[in-house]
Amino acid sequence: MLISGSLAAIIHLFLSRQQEHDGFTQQEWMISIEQMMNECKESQAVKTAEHGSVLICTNLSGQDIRFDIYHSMIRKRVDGKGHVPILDHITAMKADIENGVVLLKIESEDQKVYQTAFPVYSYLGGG
Amino acid sequence: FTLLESLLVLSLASILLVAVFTTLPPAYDNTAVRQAASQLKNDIMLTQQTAISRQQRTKILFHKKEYQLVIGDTVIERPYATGLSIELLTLKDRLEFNEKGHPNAGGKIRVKGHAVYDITVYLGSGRVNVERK
Repeated sequence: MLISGSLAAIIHLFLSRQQEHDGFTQQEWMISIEQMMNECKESQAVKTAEHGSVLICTNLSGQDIRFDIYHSMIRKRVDGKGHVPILDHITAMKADIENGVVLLKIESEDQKVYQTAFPVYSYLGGG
Repeated sequence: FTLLESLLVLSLASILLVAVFTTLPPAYDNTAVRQAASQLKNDIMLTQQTAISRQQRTKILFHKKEYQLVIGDTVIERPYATGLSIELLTLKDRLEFNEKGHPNAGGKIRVKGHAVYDITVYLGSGRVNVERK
C-alpha cells in the first residue's frame, strides 16, 4: 500500500501536464490593466464609446488612445492607427466611468468575468 | 501465503518497479525543460510588468550560460540548468521593455533539453507564448 501510494504520487507529479485553458493568466491580466491605467492616468480626458465597448483616453498631446475589442483581443490604437494587442482570449469588454473612476468588466473565452476599477485623475480638475 | 503466491507477488512488484524507473528519468527531464520554459516566460512577464509599474526601462540579457534580468540597479541571474540550453532563433541577445511595457524587438527563443519549447515574444504587445515542438 505504501509503495503503491508513493509511486502513484510520483508518477502523477512527473507525468501530469500543465492544464491548457482558453483564458489568460493572472499576470497577463495585471499587465494589461496597468497599461490601460497608465494611459488613463496620463490623459487629459477619458471617455467611453459604443455602449462602453470602447475606452478612449485623450493624452496631453491631443492624441486619442483607444482600447477596443478586435476579434478576440483588446487592442490599443493611437489616433486610429496601429494595432497593439493588449489582452487576448476576450469575448466581451464593458467600460463605465463613474465619479472619476473607470470600471472595467471583461469576459474571457473560458467564461470567467474579470472586473477592476482605477481612478482617472483628470476628473479631479485643478491647475 | 504459499511460496508460489509470494513469488508471484514479488515478481509482479519487480515488473512494476522496473516499468516505473525506466519511465521516470525521461519524464523528469521533460518536466525540467517545461519548468525552464515556464520560468523564462514568467521572467519576461515580470520584467515587462516591472517596467510598467516603476515607469522605467528594464531588460533581459541572454548569455551562453545564463540570462540576466536587469531592473534598475538590481540584476537577477538565472543560470541554465545542466543539460538545458537556450537558443536565440530570431530574438536578439537583449530584450528591453520601455516604460509602457513595449519591447524593443519581437522574436523566438528555443529552450532545448530532452524536450524542445519555443517561446515567442510578440513585437508591440510584448506578450509571450510558449509552445512545445
